[in-house]
Amino acid sequence: MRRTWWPLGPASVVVPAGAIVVAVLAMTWRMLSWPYPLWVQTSAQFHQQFTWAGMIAASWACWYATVMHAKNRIWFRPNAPRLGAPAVVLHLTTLVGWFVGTYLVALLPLTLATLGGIGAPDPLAMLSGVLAMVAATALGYALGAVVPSVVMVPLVAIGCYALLVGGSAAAEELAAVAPVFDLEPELGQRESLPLLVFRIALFVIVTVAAVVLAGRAATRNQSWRAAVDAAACLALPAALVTVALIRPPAVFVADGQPAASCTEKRGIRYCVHVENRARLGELVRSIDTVIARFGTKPENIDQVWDQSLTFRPIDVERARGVELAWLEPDGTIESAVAVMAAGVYSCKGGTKPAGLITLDIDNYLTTGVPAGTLEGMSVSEVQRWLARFQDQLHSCTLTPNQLPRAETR
Amino acid sequence: MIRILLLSRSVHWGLLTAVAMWCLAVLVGRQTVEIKLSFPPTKAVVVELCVVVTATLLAIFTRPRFWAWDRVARGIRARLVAGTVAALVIAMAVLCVPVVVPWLPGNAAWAWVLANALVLSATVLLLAPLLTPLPAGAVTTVLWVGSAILTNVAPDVWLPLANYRDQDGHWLVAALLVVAAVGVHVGTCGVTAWAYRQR
Repeated sequence: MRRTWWPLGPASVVVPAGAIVVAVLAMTWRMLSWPYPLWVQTSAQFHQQFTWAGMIAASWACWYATVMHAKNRIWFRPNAPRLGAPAVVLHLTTLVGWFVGTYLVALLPLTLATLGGIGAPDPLAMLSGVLAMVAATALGYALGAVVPSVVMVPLVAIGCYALLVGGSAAAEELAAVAPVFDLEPELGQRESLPLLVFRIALFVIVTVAAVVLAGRAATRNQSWRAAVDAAACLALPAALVTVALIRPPAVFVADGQPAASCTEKRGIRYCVHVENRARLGELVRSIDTVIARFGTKPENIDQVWDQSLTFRPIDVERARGVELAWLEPDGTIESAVAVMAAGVYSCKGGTKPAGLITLDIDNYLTTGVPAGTLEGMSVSEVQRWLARFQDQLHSCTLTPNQLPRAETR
Repeated sequence: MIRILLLSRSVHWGLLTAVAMWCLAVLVGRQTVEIKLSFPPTKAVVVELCVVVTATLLAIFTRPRFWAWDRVARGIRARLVAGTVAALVIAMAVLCVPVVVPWLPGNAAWAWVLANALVLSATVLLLAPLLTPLPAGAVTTVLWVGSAILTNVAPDVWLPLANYRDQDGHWLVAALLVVAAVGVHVGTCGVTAWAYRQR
């Protein structure tokens, strides 16, 4: 046992592995209790959780290499024969085994929680995330082996942070290169095949280049050759990255035209993605409360669609009077039906009395209590007024004497 | 002799790193890391992270390479050099904040960030002789993230770091930490025997 860990002791690998577990579990904790988990989202977590795990793995592997290849080590004498690649492979096997192993263990609860969820797992997306972790560990180790000084550790951490910031600032352009995406795919979308193939190839090549670089750095002691080696080994990954930056592949593609599951209530047609059909009743209930408060069918709303149905182009004829609803995996349903029925967007600016009243109507439709300018009116009075003036409300052509209770003002 | 002392502390590398980190601070310092565990979200300013990284890098570069001799001599000069270097490193790291100020909107309050920067860089320098610089930087980073999380979860708990909402710098704490950090460097000539063996 002692020999396996020599010379750094078990804490040198177990501590960062524990940190990876804590970071991944903390980031995925709230997803574990979601009632409608999506496989496409869970698969994406295998690379999204790189955020902290990748930074910890790369920085720690870099530190490990700086200690193992430090210039005051007895095997670093100018004439001492050094093992090179075999030693590097041995170190990296330990590091990758622990870091990637614990990363997968930490993702296991999320995967188990998604069993029976919507859609199917995307093994390539999962593989790309695991390979990103391997590449980060190997690259961090190689940088530490080339410049064996602890200064490299914060620099590697800054590099990982820059990759995160870059990935969220230039989401579309850097998606092929940065392990973490800015957005996560939703139901009806998946990560595009060219993107996944490119990312897998890139991470494999980065890993191989890093192992070769570290192997060469650990074979000889002249520092000037390190620069040449680094340039030679990193040329191919750099070329790949350049290609991806010049012609970035599409990030997400929509699935084929999804089947819809529909029902009708009070003249409004409700449609959800066929995979979401269990939630159709819930959708109707949540929107129908708003329609019931409105009193009649709002004339600008004919259909309410699950947003997952809209990733493909739709004919204008079919999409007449459509409002979208977001059926979130955490069980909530978001939609702008109340806002649209109140005509909030029809009056730009909202300073005119006609604009102000739309906000109060929106408030009434969401809470069921007339307030603001509707204060003191009964629900049936508000509904009568809405039935009479909804055309003017939706076109923002209300005149002051058409406002509710204009006669009492 | 002064030249040898400067070289023994790698002052040239230190200066180069400081300038590079100031540039980085100008580029990314105005961003914030949002902690959204409870409402309202807490914003931790990234320039504070730049200060921690700068202090860590400078502490690594300016580590006392003559310590083995200094320790035998225990003279006033070694202590003076150690104390001066510590104070300068704290100052150079804190300068990450003023270089960002010209890029801020005119009415933005930034004095509290400066106080936080002093607290953080003094913490790194205080821990560096005891733990070696890299773990000192790592511990300080964890404390920084931890205090942002704590501010978000329990806003009423007193912390040495001022936050975005109070904007009330803890200058006394900062001054005490700076004095303590310089004191530790003077007392140990820059590194403890245990930390020296961990090289």
